Amino acid sequence: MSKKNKLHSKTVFALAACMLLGTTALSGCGGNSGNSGAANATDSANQANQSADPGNGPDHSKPLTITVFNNAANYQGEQTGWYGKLIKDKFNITLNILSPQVAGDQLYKTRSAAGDLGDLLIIDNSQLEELIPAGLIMDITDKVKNTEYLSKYVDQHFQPFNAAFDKVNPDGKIYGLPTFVADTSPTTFSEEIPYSSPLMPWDYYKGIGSPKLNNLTDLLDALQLMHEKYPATTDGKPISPITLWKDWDNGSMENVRWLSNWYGYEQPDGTSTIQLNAKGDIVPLIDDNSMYKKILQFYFDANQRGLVDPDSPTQDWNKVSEKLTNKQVLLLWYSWQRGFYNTPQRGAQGDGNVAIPIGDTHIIQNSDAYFGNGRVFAIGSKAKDPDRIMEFMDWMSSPEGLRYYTNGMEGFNYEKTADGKFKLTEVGQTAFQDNTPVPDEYGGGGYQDGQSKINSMIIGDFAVDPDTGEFYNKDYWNATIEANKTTLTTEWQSMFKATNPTDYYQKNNMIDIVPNINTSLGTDSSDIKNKRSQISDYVKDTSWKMIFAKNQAEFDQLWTKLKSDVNGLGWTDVFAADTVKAEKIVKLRAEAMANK
Amino acid sequence: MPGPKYSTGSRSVSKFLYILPFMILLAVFAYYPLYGWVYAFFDYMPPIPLSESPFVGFKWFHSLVENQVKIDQLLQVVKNTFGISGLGILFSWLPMIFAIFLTEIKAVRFRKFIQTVTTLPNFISWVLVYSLAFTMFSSEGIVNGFLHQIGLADSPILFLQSSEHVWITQWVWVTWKTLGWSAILYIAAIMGIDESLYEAAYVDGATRMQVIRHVVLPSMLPTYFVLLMLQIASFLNNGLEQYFVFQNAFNKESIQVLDLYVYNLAMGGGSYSVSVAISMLKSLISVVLLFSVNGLSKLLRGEGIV
Repeated sequence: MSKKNKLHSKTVFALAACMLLGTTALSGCGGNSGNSGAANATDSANQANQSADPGNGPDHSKPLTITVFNNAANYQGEQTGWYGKLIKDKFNITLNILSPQVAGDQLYKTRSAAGDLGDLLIIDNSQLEELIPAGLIMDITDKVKNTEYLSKYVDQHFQPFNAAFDKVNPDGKIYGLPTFVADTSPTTFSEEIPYSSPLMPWDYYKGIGSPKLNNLTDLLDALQLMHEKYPATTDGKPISPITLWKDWDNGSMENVRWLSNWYGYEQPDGTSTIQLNAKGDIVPLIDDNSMYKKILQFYFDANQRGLVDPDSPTQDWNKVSEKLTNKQVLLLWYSWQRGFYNTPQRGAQGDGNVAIPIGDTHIIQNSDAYFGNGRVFAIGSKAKDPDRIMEFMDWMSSPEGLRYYTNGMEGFNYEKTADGKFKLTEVGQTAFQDNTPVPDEYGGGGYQDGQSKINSMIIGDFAVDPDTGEFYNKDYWNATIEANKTTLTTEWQSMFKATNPTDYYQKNNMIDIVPNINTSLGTDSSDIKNKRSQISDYVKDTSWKMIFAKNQAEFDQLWTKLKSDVNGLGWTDVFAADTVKAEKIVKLRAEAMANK
Repeated sequence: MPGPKYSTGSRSVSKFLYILPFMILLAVFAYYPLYGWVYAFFDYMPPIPLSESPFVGFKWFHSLVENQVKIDQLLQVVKNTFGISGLGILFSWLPMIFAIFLTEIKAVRFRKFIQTVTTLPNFISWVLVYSLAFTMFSSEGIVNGFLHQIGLADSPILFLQSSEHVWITQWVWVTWKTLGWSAILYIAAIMGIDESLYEAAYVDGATRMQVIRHVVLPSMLPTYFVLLMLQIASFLNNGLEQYFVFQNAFNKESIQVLDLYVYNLAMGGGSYSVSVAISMLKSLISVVLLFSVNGLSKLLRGEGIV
């Protein structure tokens, strides 16, 4: 009897337990989203490690692991391979990289809310602006001035960059070092092709008789002709003249944003409601005459003609890059999109994606990143051994560090020519694409796997190597340019009578190079942030719907609704905030041009 | 039967100790998170800690309903939540019927096969379900290829970006995924039905359908009602993964449920405070729903759930 009772009470308890757990699970989804649970995410080994006498350079006898919080990285974990071995041998340093691109954006929020982002930080300008007043960034003014290589950039680059954050940095201290700094000039553009310009497969373009394109209607006609003639790849995959993807969309629809650049209007990073031209005119995105609307109309027309990939709204960039690799796309706009298909072997047969200028375009292009490129290197205020981190950053910016970062190992990837310049070895030409195994003396592993996963640098590859007098970027070495003179290049050059696309656009007065401005644009209040996000979502969704609208009437009706609805979401406030940012850019550009 | 004598005091202490772990769990996971609600009343922007954030009172609640566009948006979200959950409740008898028919299959191997095949999708994550959906229903997918081959469609049908019948499509996906799994409880219930009831029915000359109608179905109803109640309790929690992976510009208006809306706001705009405000509203609606169902239960069955 008592046994049965016991059993019974056990069952009751079990049931009670289940119910409690059930309630817990249900009520647990209350309002805890604002809770930061990352206090335990900080590093266990966080004791300050006193470095040796800084006068004689830091002591390397103790191994040091640097936690790198890195917005630029698309790899998370310990740096391994040849670069890992290199810095282990040289500095006794191991890099432990944290990547928001891999782990998600909340990594920044949780770690910064917990008060320690990491030892070495590669973060956005706007984040620097938030983190300085929160006390998470170390003042490195004196440390930078005592370095061998970085100190040379203090007056021209680092000091003015940091001074611009005057709201949070009234004393003009140095907190962050900008990324990819070029040493050309604030108004020079050194690359051979603009970031965004019309690109098409050369053989198909010739296949329809190389028609001269005067405007976007000609472009649509040409795409249609090409599509009729080449509906599928040689192995039977369907070709889409235009393909779009959604996962890059941020403030507005990215594929629309960058085509606006063809006609001289850019949307500066950090804004989402305006477009800006080289003269400094600020146009609201929802203006009836905005370039944004004209490009929407272009895509809509293209879709009406059946030229837009129907998978566009549901595919992501990975799927697009697969299509690019298979040559399934006829119109490209982003200079790097070429690289998925173009190779020297195909180039020798006149096959590859090249720039096909359109007569009425007038491209807006930012100059070399003389002042840097939107992100900064900084040291966390709780960093374990800041002197050794500084020493490492200085080495990264030395000729030796830059060569390792951009071009790999001398003797393996490149070698010296008789005239003292560099040329790629046979292995070096394809070491990246083929992930060629690296000899054991360098640490083994694949070449690409072992490259620096920091994926960012303070001094960029458009700086001149003092030993050779050429850029660090191997694509611009004389030897590389000679080797790349393929049929594709020479045919293109003879048709357009220019050495490269940038040259063509400049000769024909079809491009405006505007100074690349890299500075503090101020942080949004949470009110503006909130409104911006709602407006952006609305603008993006409507843009997609407009491109795929059934007819012109639906297109127009969606546009009218967009214009009125965004007002209810706070358009005026966000537009005002963006106008302030744009005016600052316009002013700084004018100053840079005046100092030319 | 003589046993050890407890004083009432020490007995209650030991009983209390039995439930203590669960009370601690409840406090930590259900009540402590409520503290997070304070974020809704501050202008919180990491990395500035809450203690240094300005107090803004009901600003965020007010901003949710400050003009017609926003009210419409919120109403649409609530409508979607109710619509999709409502569809689920409307068809909540489906797993029961499925279980009944499944147990009626006499070929054991075939029955096991069907059960395995229908249960399996429950263990696939929504992300994988979406890639499956993409492979099947994209313009180059299997379905479009098939329709094209048999000559039913000239141009591909864009299933995934259709803005029509979104609730129903989503209901079909979730049913496909969970049907077999939800049937398990009912199958267990059917196994528990007294054999003598069947025998009596057959002796009385009942047909197979009559047995189902008069023996099986009534024995299943208690189970059904318990599960229905649980489903109503989680009316607003229709999850976000499914809608998150399936959402795109075209179906967003009909697919954005409360949980997804909160996520889109918090992760898209980094606006934690506003998201907390919305999720507080959600808890409020939940409490209202709970009490109304409880009231209904009292009215109909004479006893409440809580």
